[in-house]
Amino acid sequence: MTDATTISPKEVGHGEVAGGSSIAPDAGMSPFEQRIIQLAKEFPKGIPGKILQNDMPTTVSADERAIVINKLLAQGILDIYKQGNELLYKLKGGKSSEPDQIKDADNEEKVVFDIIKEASNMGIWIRDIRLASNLTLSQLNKIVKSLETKKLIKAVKSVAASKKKVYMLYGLDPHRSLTGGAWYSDQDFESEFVTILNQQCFKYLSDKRQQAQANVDDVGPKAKMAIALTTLDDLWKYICNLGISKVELTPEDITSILNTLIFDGKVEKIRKGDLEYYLAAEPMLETTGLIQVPCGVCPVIKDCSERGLVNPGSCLYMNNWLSSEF
Amino acid sequence: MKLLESGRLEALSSLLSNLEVGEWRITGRVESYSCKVAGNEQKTMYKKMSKDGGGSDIVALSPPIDTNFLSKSLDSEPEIFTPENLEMFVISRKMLFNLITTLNLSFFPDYDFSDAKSHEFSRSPSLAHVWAEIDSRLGQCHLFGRGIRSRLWEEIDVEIGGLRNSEIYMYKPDLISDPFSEAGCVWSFNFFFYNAKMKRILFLNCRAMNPNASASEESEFSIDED
Repeated sequence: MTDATTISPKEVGHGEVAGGSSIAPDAGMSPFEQRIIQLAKEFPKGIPGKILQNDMPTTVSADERAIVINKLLAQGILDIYKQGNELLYKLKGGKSSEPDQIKDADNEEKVVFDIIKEASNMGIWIRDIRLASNLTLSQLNKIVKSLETKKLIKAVKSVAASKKKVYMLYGLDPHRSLTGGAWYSDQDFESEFVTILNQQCFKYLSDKRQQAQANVDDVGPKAKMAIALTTLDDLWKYICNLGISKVELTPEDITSILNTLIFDGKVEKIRKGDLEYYLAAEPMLETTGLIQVPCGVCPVIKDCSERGLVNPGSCLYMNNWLSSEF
Repeated sequence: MKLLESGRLEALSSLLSNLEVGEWRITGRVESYSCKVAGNEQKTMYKKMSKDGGGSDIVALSPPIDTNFLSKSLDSEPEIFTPENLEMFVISRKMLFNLITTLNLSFFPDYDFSDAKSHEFSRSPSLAHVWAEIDSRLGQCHLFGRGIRSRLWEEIDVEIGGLRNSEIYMYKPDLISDPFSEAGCVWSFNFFFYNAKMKRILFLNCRAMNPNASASEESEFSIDED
């Protein structure tokens, strides 16, 4: 989108004048330049080429216009953008919060820097930078190397796109979706950690429920269970105090652990008015024998019969199941 | 590792890249790399990879099961792991470095395979398997049979000092973020022919791209891996 190079009179189109310098018009500036600044202020998103065209007196030639526009661009006062086939002229922000080094960099580096800046803490894949900047492979590689050496950008790894080369501004911290948050330690999924957290959460809820059931007060079943209800906050504080985590866990992290427990059918989420509680679940029915027999999920059941290679007598799955049950 | 420039291989690559299977456009490359560690970046990476164990430490590959269902005609029994055929299941860290660096150099600068694990690679059971897979893919294009196929294997044979003398490895696409998982990639194959004596790797890669697939949206669903 951005193309901060000089433009030829052809591109400017006829009827447009470029002018203007910093926000405050100079005494030494031509009226055209002052007019441009005014226009740019009226169009904070950028002056479309056509409007510039119609606004300016037709006595100014395309060449003169181009000279003034280029002067503005070189001074870093005006920015030129391309939207489809249209050109947009935008006033550059007053006080620049860019690091000093980028001000000295040439235009192409600025373009790339801006593209990367826009991606903020999500980062951007180098191929997307290429498409956005219209630079060639070798040009972009040189620029990226230069920006890296100047410590303006850095390469980051993303757990979602582990083989793509992603860049972001040097000072930013990668977004959680790139680092994997608490569940990843340096691009590796910490499955043990997640399992332990899972077990601890379930144990807490399960113990609470058992306590509630052991309660012999004559208050009725619902009131009894009310003791076992746990809020997210309580559970989060408990887990943090356990100290099993090296990294700080947020309530959202605990929620995702609880969700896995809910999907496993081990925990229920109960809503009372505005509040949500969690409760260890107890299945209402026992699983029947027919469901427990391994034949239901056997991959070779179609080949199974009394005779032949696959038969119940020599079945491994059956033997395993029987030896574990009794 | 360095790319060894070769006009012949470049010509071969463009021959492959001009093939079409129906609507799908094939892009292929045949590249030859020398296996000597070159440059500071590679040195750092090699040091990092062989940290405590050193380059000759072994790491596990994925088993060399023939995953191409189209070549059922060959003996596609999964290899059973025995002490004799250990080399079909493991490679040294140095070899892993070679394979990863080949991919890094070939797909520079968009992709970085430095974090790839050894189980994303596997050893091809035999040259016959490789031929079968390539024939079943590229054979759909009638131009392939008319001269390109024989030329391909002749050139590779010469470049790698004899196909029969080389070890053949494959890379398994992760279906998420590598070049073969891009939107529109219908199929792909990757083969690395390694000649230990020559210290050379020949990288053969083809992708079939469907031009109708939207390039802007990355695939929304991910396929579960084991």
